[in-house]
Amino acid sequence: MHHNYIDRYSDGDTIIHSIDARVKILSTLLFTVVVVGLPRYSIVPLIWFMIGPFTIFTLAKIPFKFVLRRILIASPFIITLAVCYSFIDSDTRQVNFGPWQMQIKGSILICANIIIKFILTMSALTALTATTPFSSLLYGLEKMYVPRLLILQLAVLYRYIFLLIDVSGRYLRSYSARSLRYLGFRREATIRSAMIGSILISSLDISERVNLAMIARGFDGKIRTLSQEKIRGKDLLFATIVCVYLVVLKAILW
Amino acid sequence: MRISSCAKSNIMVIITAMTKIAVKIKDFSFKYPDATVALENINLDIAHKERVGIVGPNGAGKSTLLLAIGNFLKSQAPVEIDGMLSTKDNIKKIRQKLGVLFQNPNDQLFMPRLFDDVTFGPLNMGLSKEEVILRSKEALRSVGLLDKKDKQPHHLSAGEKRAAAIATVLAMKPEIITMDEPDSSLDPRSQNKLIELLNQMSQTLIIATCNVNFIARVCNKIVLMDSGKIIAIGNRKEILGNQELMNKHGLEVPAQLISDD
Repeated sequence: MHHNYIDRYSDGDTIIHSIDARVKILSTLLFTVVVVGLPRYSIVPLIWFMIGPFTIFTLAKIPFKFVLRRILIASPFIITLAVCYSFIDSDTRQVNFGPWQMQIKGSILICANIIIKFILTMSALTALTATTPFSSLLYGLEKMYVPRLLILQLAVLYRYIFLLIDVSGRYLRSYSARSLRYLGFRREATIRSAMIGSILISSLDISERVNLAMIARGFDGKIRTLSQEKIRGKDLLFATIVCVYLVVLKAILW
Repeated sequence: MRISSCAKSNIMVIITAMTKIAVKIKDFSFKYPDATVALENINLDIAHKERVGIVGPNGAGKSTLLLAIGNFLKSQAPVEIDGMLSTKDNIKKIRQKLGVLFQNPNDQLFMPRLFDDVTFGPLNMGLSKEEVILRSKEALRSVGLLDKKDKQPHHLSAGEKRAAAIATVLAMKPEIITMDEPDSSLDPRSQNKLIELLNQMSQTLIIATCNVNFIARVCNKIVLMDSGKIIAIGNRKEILGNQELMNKHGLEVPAQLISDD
């Protein structure tokens, strides 16, 4: 079965896709650090930071609907966190919206700040993962001295996700093909628990077989990979643009 | 015609080399943890360059026998690969000599990119980067997937996954290759492509399947198994062409052999 909803756009051939993974990882990291480090009551200046990810999505031809969906999937946790944080400040603060000034409660500002920072960092992360094949990301991480064992675990995990989607899809199809009516909450819950159990057992089976396949090809616990790509001029140019953009924005707005 | 003693000795050397044993199994038995007997008293010699088809009904022990040949099962009776016993010192050499193709190509393709998967074995062999790239490209070219080397395995079709799995094995340049149901879930066109590919290969092939039509087009030596035992060993016509024997063990005479008659 073909799955393309996880890494649907990573195989594109735009200029953004061709940038070295290491440069993109470092740029995302830098962007995240700068955004997270911004004052906790600032709202309007943060919006200017959206220009970066927005430009990347446009150049890389990533649909905004796709980005929005990614952000929405991860949002419940952050919204809960933002709401919890908003109780810590009950003072009123002055906020400038261009020529207008408003008095807003500190708690609301913190809440909005966390949510906007989340949208910005999530957009940057989506820009990274949607324009970089997973293998290139792993390669980039490896070159940045992330432990090789972790890289291999991520590589196998990535493969497992698709295999598990296949297994789960088969179980669900088989269930819906024979499920002619609603059997009541208790019965349905029992069936679904049994399905989850079977999926887990299947995943264990898969892991055992993959382990055998790895041993058959001489795997002895030591990770060996091919690393051959070099940083090119356009990668350096991209890194420079990102740095200049962040420095200029920070200097102008604060 | 007279043959000189020197030529005679040369012929003997060639014959000896040709009949050099690739796989030797003697009195091999194996039980699963629930005491089910999977293999019972297996004795089998496979010479280099032979193409051996292991056939039998479901549950005959074909896949378990391949696991035994691959040195994945622990038993009192060792399996010899190219004269080497499976010891701690030999296991790396054995893994280089023996390529294993598993039943489900998804188990064989575990890296995020096809090329990474194909290079996995050669890298573990400790080859230089240049050699690894050369071998991997050669393996992918031989199965017709070089243009898809940067694809994620889950984006390949069933036939392509099977070919990719074969490439992962070929890149290690093994002398012996075991294949478990390589024809499963392939359409006739993909099966024909696979048969063409297998018939071009010069390695010792050991293929387990219950598809006798497939095996009749690839293998010349047949091992018939049932209930964990070897029932008969012989050439293609002797075993696959014996209707009584085939029917007795839940198989059929391949259409190709019927039409040959």
